Amino acid sequence: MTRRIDGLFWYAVLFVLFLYGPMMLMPLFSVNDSNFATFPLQGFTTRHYAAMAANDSMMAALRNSLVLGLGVAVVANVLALPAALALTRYRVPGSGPILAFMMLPLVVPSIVLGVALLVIAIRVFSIPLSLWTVAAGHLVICIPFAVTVLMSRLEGFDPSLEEASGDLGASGISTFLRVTLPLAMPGVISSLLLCFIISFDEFVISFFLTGTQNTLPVFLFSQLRFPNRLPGTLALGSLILVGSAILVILAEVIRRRGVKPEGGAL
Amino acid sequence: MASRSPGTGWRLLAPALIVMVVTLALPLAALILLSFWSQNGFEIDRSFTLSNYWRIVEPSSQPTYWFGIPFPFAYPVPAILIVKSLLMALVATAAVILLAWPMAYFLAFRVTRGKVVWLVLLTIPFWTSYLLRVFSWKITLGFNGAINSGLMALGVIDAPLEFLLYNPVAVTITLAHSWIAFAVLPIYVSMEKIDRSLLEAAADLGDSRWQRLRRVTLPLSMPGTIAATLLVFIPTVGDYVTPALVGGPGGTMIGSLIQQLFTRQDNAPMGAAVSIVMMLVIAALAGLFLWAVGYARMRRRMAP
Amino acid sequence: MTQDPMIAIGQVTKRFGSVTALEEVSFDIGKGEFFSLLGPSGCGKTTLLRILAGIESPTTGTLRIDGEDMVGIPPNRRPTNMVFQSYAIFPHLNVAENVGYGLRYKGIKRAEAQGLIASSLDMVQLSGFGDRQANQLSGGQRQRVALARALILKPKVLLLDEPLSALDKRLREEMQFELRELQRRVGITFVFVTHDQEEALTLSDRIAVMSGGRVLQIDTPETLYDRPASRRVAKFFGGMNLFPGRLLRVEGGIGVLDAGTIGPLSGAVDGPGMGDGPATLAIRPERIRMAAEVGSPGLAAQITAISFLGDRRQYVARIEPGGQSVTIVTPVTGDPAAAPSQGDRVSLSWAASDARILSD
Repeated sequence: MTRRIDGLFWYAVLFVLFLYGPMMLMPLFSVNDSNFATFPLQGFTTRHYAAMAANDSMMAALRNSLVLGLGVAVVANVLALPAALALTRYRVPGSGPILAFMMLPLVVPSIVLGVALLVIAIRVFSIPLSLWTVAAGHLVICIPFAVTVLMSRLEGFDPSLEEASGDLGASGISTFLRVTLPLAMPGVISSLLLCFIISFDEFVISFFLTGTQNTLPVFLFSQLRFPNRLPGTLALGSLILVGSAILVILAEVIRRRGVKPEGGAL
Repeated sequence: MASRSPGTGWRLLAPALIVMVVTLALPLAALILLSFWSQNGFEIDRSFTLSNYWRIVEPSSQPTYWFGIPFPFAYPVPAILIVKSLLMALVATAAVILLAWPMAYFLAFRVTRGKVVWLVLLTIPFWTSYLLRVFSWKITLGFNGAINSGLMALGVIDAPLEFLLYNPVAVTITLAHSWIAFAVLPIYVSMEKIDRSLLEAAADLGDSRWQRLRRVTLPLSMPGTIAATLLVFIPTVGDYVTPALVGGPGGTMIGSLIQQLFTRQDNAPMGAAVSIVMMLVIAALAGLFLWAVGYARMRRRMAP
Repeated sequence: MTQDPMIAIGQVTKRFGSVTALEEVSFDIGKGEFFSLLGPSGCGKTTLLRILAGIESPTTGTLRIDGEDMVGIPPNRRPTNMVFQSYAIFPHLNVAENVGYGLRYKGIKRAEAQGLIASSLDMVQLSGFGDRQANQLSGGQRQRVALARALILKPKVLLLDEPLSALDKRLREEMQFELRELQRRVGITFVFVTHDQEEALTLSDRIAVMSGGRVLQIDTPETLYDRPASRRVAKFFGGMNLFPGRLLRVEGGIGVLDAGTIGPLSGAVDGPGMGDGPATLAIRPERIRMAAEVGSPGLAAQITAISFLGDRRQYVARIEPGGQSVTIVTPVTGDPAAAPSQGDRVSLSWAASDARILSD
């Protein structure tokens, strides 16, 4: 993979080991036949996974998070795609400040977003906390990501393709369906996946906005203090790690495949 | 596309913008408003007051000492925690940048084939649950954690090392680990943009390998390095999860105080004021940092 | 033009914010004409083409195509089709799908479409390429696909935005010829945007020379080349020798220009209306006579550089008083030893009717 095997190469290997080392302990201990995350290892077991599946509140939280992640991803992209189109294809006065405003959640600490939403939900609108308030919080942080991914995809192809479609007789909607959407599709899919992962993993905002129904990270956080709940948590944590990794790889593969065919021209 | 009218553009932008106004601008405005109100028992007193801000800076003749630094405030907790959070974030950020830079260099200049694999390897941790990544450090460093039990099983130590977890160092290490992969990417991108013939030209003009690194690669990778610094520093200051899980009583940060003010102490106006002061301090420091490194000038110069 | 024009552009102005891209442009383009918009980048030629296509709309002014008012009509309802500079071949469709893209908006059924696509591909010599993906095509092939895709819709006007600029020199010359042939065959009005004066001269029936959002001159290639109306047009058709000065007097169509230290120079003046004031004398390099002996009437000069161009020789000479450089081109004939060599003193002269005195 590299030209030389030298100090820098070993540094990179160590870097990746440092990155993954602590995380890899979770899957390791999740199949260890012990109720504690300690060495030496006691032997292989899958009983922690069985215990996890039998834990109803854990499964309910998992279901909540899956539904939430899907919903948030879809809504965020339905909102972000027209916005990204407007910002890349139309002359909108003040688009600079608007874009800066939409990117604000990327630099505001999420605890501030969480408490700000808490304040407005409870004290201004008197909305009871529920998965809906959590969803609103997740939308705030997903929209900037979705807009960024979609904008870079839309900027990646020649705007004269859409002009050509109009010139050849297509109406605005027809051009969107026959040219813009097919070409933006890799971006849309990777944006959907990324929004899902963001929502699925988000903790701080959910922690402030959740009602009686927990999301999975909030549930996990409440379990982390109790040592006797550790094995089930390890099992679930391992599954989430693997699942997230698969989704990231999938998103990356789709994004890269989408980029290629055009670059090949000329 | 020029002829497409601004009107249509606005209509396309409107739904996302409305959602963002309702879920971002209004809440932040409400938070600011709340910070000028006050908590009166279980009631919120809606008359305008600066008392929350005054309380954060109210001087006292008897300073509270934290690590030998005097804090001459009547209610020193926010000030101490802000300074402490800034210091921890600063150390974590510095460590992250120092460690990430060689990795980015390796990716940009050394990896020839399979670059995607390395990039994906670095991307995965950022997208996998932050909570679980922090938690994995708790298993690693804990009293009954992997390091202690591992070392005991090997017979290196007899009793668990207690200094590993629940202190500012554990928090700083965990923060650094959480953000390190994220920092590599912007630095890598700005290195990848460097025209390779510039390095060849520098070599041709007599620069050695180290001189090229210092005189060409380092200055040209500065925009990415600066971006990475801010991307790590800003969220780190206000982090809540890491101090809560691996910080213990000694490792609390400003985020922990905000959470307590809103939930346990039930003093939301004070919590709002602390949140806003924290954001202002972060923004001011970020601005100062960009000014100090001459970021605007750098961007103008490097514009294609 | 005796018949009605195909395109009538009236007082068209286009502003982008504070920048004026087109300033009160008015002219007509005839039916079946091969018409070029020529000018340096940023002169407004592409903006004007995009206004014809309906992609941009004029800030003020009128536009009629084949007698119909086009202001406010979107591109998809105009009788124009365009070949884009980047060709804009849809990367997610194959060649046949690209060529047939617009047929459904003409209400053409699938079975009929297949035949049309095949004959269109045939016309641009791409028979059998229908299944190719866009990224498997060379630059020249992409251009042919773009042409077929536009012409299959039988537009009244074909708009071409620098379609040859992405091709290498040899292919460009080949395609120039093909384009001209194609236009004769289909008989459609072509509006062709280019910054290459040679290309415009080769292809066009008429050329509009544009600069700074205005039209400087509209004429046939021959007239533009031989009788530019102003110094800016002359400068654009490169190679002209230009002598700045003041017009002293005009007698019988021949004017005398005071060119400072060089002395008085004479040249033809077109039409009336040129008073005294700053003017420029323009003379083509191949119209200058060069005599070897010093002392004969004409401008005394010394040869500073010679380049061999195959059938011609190009000389650069410095005029003795003043030091201005002049380019002279002579055919290569007879004894090479008789030709002047570097450092030789020569005398330069021309027939007054070959030179033109132009307003600034």
